[in-house]
Amino acid sequence: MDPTAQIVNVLQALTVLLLAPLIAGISARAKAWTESRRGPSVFQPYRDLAKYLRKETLIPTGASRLFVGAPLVAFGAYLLIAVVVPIITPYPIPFAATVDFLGGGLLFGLAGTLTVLAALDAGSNYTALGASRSVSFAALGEPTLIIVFFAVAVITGTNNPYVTNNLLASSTAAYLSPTHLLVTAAFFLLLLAETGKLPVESAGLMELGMLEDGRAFEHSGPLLGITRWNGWLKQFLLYSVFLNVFLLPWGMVSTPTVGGALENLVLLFGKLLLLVAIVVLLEATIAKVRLFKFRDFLALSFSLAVLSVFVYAVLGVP
Amino acid sequence: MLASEEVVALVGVGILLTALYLQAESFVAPLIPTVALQSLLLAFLLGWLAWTERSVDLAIVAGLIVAIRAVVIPWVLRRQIRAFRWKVRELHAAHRVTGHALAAVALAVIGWFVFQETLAPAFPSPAAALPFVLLLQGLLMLATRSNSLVQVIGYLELENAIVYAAALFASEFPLFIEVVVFLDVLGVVLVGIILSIQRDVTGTLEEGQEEALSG
Amino acid sequence: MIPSAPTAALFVLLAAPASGAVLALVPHPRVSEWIARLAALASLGAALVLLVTSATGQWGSYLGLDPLSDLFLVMVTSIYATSTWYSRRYLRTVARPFLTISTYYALLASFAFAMVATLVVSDLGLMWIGIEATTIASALLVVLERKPTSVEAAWRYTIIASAGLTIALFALILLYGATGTLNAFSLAAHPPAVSLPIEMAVVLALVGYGTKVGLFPMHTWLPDAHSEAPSPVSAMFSGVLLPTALYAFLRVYRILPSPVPAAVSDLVLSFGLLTALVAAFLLQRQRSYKRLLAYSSMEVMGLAVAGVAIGGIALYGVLLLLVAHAFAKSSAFYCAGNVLRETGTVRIDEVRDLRHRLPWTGAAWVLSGLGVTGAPPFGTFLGELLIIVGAIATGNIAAASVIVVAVLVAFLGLNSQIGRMVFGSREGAVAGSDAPPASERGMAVAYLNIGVALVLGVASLPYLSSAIRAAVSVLGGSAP
Repeated sequence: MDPTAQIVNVLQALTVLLLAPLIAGISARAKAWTESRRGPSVFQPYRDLAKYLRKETLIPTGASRLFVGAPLVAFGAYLLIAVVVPIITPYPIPFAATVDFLGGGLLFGLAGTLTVLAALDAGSNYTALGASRSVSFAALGEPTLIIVFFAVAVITGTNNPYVTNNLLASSTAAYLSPTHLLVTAAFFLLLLAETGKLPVESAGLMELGMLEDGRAFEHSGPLLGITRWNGWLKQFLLYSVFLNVFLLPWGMVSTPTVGGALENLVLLFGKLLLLVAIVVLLEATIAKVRLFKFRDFLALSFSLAVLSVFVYAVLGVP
Repeated sequence: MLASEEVVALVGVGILLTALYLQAESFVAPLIPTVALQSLLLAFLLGWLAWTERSVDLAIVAGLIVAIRAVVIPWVLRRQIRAFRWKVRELHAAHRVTGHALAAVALAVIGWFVFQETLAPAFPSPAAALPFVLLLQGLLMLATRSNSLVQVIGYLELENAIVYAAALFASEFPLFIEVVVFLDVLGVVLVGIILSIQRDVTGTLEEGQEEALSG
Repeated sequence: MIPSAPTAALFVLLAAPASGAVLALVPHPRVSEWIARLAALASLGAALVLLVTSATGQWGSYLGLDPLSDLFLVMVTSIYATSTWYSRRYLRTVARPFLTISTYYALLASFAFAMVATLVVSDLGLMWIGIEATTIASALLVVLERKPTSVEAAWRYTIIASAGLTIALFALILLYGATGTLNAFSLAAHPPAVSLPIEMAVVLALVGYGTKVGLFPMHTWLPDAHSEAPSPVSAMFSGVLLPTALYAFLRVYRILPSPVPAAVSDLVLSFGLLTALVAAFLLQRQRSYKRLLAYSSMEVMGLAVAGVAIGGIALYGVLLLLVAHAFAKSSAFYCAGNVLRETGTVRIDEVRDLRHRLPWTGAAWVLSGLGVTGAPPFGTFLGELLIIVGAIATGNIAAASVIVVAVLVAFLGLNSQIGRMVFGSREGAVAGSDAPPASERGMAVAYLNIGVALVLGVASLPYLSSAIRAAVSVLGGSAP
């Protein structure tokens, strides 16, 4: 029962919880800057959360306990993922043994499924629309996520994201192998799709892609706050996993002290800013694809993921 | 420095990616530089093998591929696109991008398994399945597309697969024969273009005419 | 130094169609016609010389002859000559030709040159190049009449044939990788040990060359190309191109030592039988008489491939069938060209009572229909009979019965349709005007060819019979 490890564990969970809205706020502000607007303050999401906590909760007639419980369970799932994947440590923290990488993917799926069920439970046309759309695209998105995790397993021989992180950080051959490059590309495309960025969905007042936002239409008050927070957590977690496991696994300090963890936190923040900049630039240069072509986008991501595993089988190059 | 086998493997993966793109893309114009890129990658591979095996024949073949398949044929094809603007996109392929991409990937996996079952003992090199997979991708393109220029590009992909196979399986394939094969392929492409022009001029088949060619 | 007769003949054989292809491009139609005819006759003469002297041997590292190629050469050049002769009448009937007359003759000559070249080379790679060149030359010939259906048919032909031949090239690469040489003669003389790449190469060559031969399921181009091409070109397709593609496959198949591994020969046999059956049954549904003839060619090719797989005495039957069928089918296509010219339609139910309208054509057509489907005493009957006998001799009763069924079904289907066209009485639904009696002077070649088929059946030509024997021994079969 190592106290340092426990502190780092709690620190990681708090990092995820507290930094997620900040990253969302920075993202929104940067996007506004590319549109020649001043945009909201980077701390606006916190103010939004505080506002939601003060508002009253309205529940549609006919909604069951699922409607209330789903955002909370999803929140718990994301929190669990937060202590399972490498965020501020390159070594496993005590809770990391709960689930492996594949389990993390399944937890993402759990959160998504519950949100969709709650949307259907709400009985509104908009939420049903959002639910049906997101599920029909998840049919291609979820297999891609699973295969991405398989590709990771194939590279290292284990399903442990920490091992992958160490391997990719130490071996250039593994980093430059076609398997890894393809799976990084596939995961990046999936990332854009899951977090609702262009060319998939344009979050904002003008567009009604109704994928992410549609599902949360009927929630109000604190539940809406939790739902929004879930969205930010998902984005933060996907970004962190992408950065620490696939794209930029380098630079993490491996001394098991709180100081080391704090250094890694600063490093992570820097990497996240870089990724936010890349995504925002991408969004500024690309147009939204039509809804029925979204499936083609996901099919491409799926193909790249399958090809990465195939390439490993064909070439035997890790 | 990367080992020779790794270079061959990496270039092979690049070629496979171009094949996936060729299958999935529904606009006709981007396919031409893609098949030129595929030919260039192949020429690079041949040049690399020529360097490591000190083979002048392979170098000549690589140069010919660059000249004929990366320069001349794409130039001829691009002129056809300009001449018939309304052929710029294949409409029913636009609806089937997902299906085509998934079919390409599925065919790659199946092709690899078939190769493993039948020919792998004879060709143990790790990248040996890729020419066969590329061959299947070319056949898939011919089978699923109906725009004549796209089918010509699919045929070029097939021929690239053949040169790739010759480079990996039979590295001293007689140069004379390879050169004449290239000229033959050029001939087929030219005839294909003549026919596709005629096809565009006379238009698509009417109901009764289609019936005359069925059964 | 006076070159020996075979060498001189070989030179003429190659030079005549090649120079014909080039010289026929002179803009003057009559001159072009005569150049083409001369070239064809010269190559026929050279081929006959080679056959008579039973030329064997290799010239340099790329040219080579043996009795099998001598036999095929005579077949190819004969049909080439008769088609060139018939073309003059036919070309007059085409309204808006895609090609000028000179270009047509030049392409026809280059088509023939490509096939002749395939037959005289000893290198499998060059054989492949020859067959690929035939696609290039013939695709433009198919488009002669500039109809939308012709263009579509030519396009399908080009794409499918080229794709199939690419698979055959893959087979050649495997073969070269496994054996280190592509010389068909040395490979046949010293067969390499059977290994997996070689078996795969033969199978892929079956699929690849089988596309050009018209085997099921790669046959989809065949009915379209045959029905849309002008009749002399269709005659060359059926009588010459298909057997030449089969010849290329035979050279690859010959690399396997006898007895051929059962897996491979069973595969070849099933392809052949399936082709014959499918063609025989699809024959029944045809409404165009040219497609009817096309499916009949497909059926005969299926039987030939099955015979190759059966081996032994069936090989004699295969070669006899191929040669006799070439003559009979070309005769049928010439008649079809005449009928088309006079009635203006390709639909069977719109053609009636040829017996009175075109008596000579009708008679020739009945004869060639019988000849093509294997009625005695034509050569095709003997060929098919020998294949069946060969199947029974090897104990493969199932194959023999399938062949019998296919032959019967095709016989009934084709001849009933032809009979309806020739003997059926007019019921008013006949296209074509009541023009003055049609000219039948193009029928000379048709009668010539069907006569040859008849004579083959009687097998009274000692030279041809012994030539077939020698060719059979090349393939490792036995003669009756």
